[in-house]
Amino acid sequence: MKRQKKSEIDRLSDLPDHLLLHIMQFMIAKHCVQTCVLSKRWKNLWKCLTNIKLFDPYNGVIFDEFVSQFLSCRDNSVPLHNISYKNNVRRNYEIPPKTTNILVEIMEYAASHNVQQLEIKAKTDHIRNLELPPSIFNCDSLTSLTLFLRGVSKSTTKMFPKSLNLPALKTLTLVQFTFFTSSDNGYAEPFSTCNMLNKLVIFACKLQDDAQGLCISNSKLSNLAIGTMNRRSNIHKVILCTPKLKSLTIIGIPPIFPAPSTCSLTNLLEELKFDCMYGSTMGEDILISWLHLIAKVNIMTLSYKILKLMVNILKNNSSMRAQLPSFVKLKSLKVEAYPWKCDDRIREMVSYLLQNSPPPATFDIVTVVKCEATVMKYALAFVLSNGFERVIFEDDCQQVVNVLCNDYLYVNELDTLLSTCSFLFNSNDNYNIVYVMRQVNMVAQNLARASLF
Amino acid sequence: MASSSSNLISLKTSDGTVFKVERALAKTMKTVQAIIEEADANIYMIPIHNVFSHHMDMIIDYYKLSVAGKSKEFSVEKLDNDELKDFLLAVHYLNMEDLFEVLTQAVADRLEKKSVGYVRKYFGIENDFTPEEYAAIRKKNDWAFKGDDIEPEEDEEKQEE
Repeated sequence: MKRQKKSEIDRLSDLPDHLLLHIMQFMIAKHCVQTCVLSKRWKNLWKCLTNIKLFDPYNGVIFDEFVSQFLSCRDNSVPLHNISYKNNVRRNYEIPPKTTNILVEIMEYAASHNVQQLEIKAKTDHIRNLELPPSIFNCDSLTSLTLFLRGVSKSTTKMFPKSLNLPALKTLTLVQFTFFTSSDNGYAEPFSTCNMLNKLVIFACKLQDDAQGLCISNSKLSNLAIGTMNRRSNIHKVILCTPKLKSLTIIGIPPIFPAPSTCSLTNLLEELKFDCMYGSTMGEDILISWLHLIAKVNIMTLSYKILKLMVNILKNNSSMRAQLPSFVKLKSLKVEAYPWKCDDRIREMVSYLLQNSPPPATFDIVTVVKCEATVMKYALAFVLSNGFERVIFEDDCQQVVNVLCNDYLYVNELDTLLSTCSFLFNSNDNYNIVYVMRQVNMVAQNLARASLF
Repeated sequence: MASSSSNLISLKTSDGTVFKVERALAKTMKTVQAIIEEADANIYMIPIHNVFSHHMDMIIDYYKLSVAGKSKEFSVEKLDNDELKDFLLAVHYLNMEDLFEVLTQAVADRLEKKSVGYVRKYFGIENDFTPEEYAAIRKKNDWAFKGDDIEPEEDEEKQEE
């Protein structure tokens, strides 16, 4: 006996298939597959998804089994645009996933289905020798690749292939890789064949032991971010052949290499960002070279920490002070500061740095009111530099909590700030984060108020 | 007769209301833009089928917010599911990319993390599986349900009678 409820007309299913699929693409893969039981029409609809979000914040262990099944049941005749896999298995007592690696399975599936965008963020401690399949590095269709394979310690890295064949690649983000030299000059030049490369992010990477340095040679590159977590990185020299480079960002600790020498004039370089939240030293020669590069840009962003470091070095070294350039080109200066740091002190330091220079047209101090994620970043930096092992963070910014707990809600690729937080947060299994309602977060509020006086 | 240098375009909705909108807003509607480009300079009034005046009100709201850089403040929470679906179809017809993404995200959010029975009831999807068919598909795709608590919706439906 079938009910006929005329008042309940099927609403959502009035929409054509491609619209339903478009809606499903905003959901994680697991929920998409679950729509198969809604009705006959929905039974196989999920198999036609072109954008796939493989996230499961709750079930690290059986998640990989799900992924494997998903890929084998999917309709192979449907093109694939986008795969994103994030696995944040954080508990030590969980059984590691099967050894034939789901990451390799995903990469091979992606490569053989002409994927355009691939993103993999996973913990790989349990995988002894992760061998990345060559097919993913020889893929004509790939336009964006993110490989964030976290090792158990900050110095474990994966080997990056010596040659790449990714002619359509525009965006590349790599974390914890080692680059090898393939040319005679002793430099590692891993990306030179990617002629379309526009944006490159390299974080916590190393070079093979006897390499002279890293050479980045890409005619269309306009955005570069490079950095490391600790001074053990051996990237001591960077050469840029990037005539279209507009923006250069240093992430992590203050740069351990001098400002990149260029083999073509970087007249276009507009913006320099020092997103350095911890690390308390910087070589004097290195600092001088960066100061000369700062003199060439229009826009600069500094973290409080590095501003303070630069000013201290200058104050202690009169010959360096004599070499302090005049930053005539600087039109906009931004300082990212702890919420409880005194604005006047910051202005004082900025004036010191700009003692030979005209004041910039715009000057901003970005604090917690404008940027909650920056607070988390500084909190993490504080915790890390003080070596605290077990920490519970309380945060009243839902978005920051979501990013650090679940990661899968975070979709904005360009935000290195949240990305850095996530990376640091996940580097220690004993860090936990709890969301507290703003009204309840009285401790923070009271501290904030107290700091004003 | 209407001067082409005017920066207001007239749009007539399905329920007969005429809206005069800025050219810049009309440009975000690819369907409308195509009509303007195909016709001569003397386009007088463009009819937009499938779009009602309450849809246009919301579209104009969204446009004003996005011009002010506040597009994140735009919310469709007050719409019920029928209204949201109709609005989505209207925006889809007009081919407005940004607003379309916002609306599909909103629909996805309403669906996410809800149980099967809930989603069916909520959106009024008729279950055309026989109990055997349902059991078969559920078993076949059991790997996708592991770790979640999905209530057997057979019982729910029977209880409604």
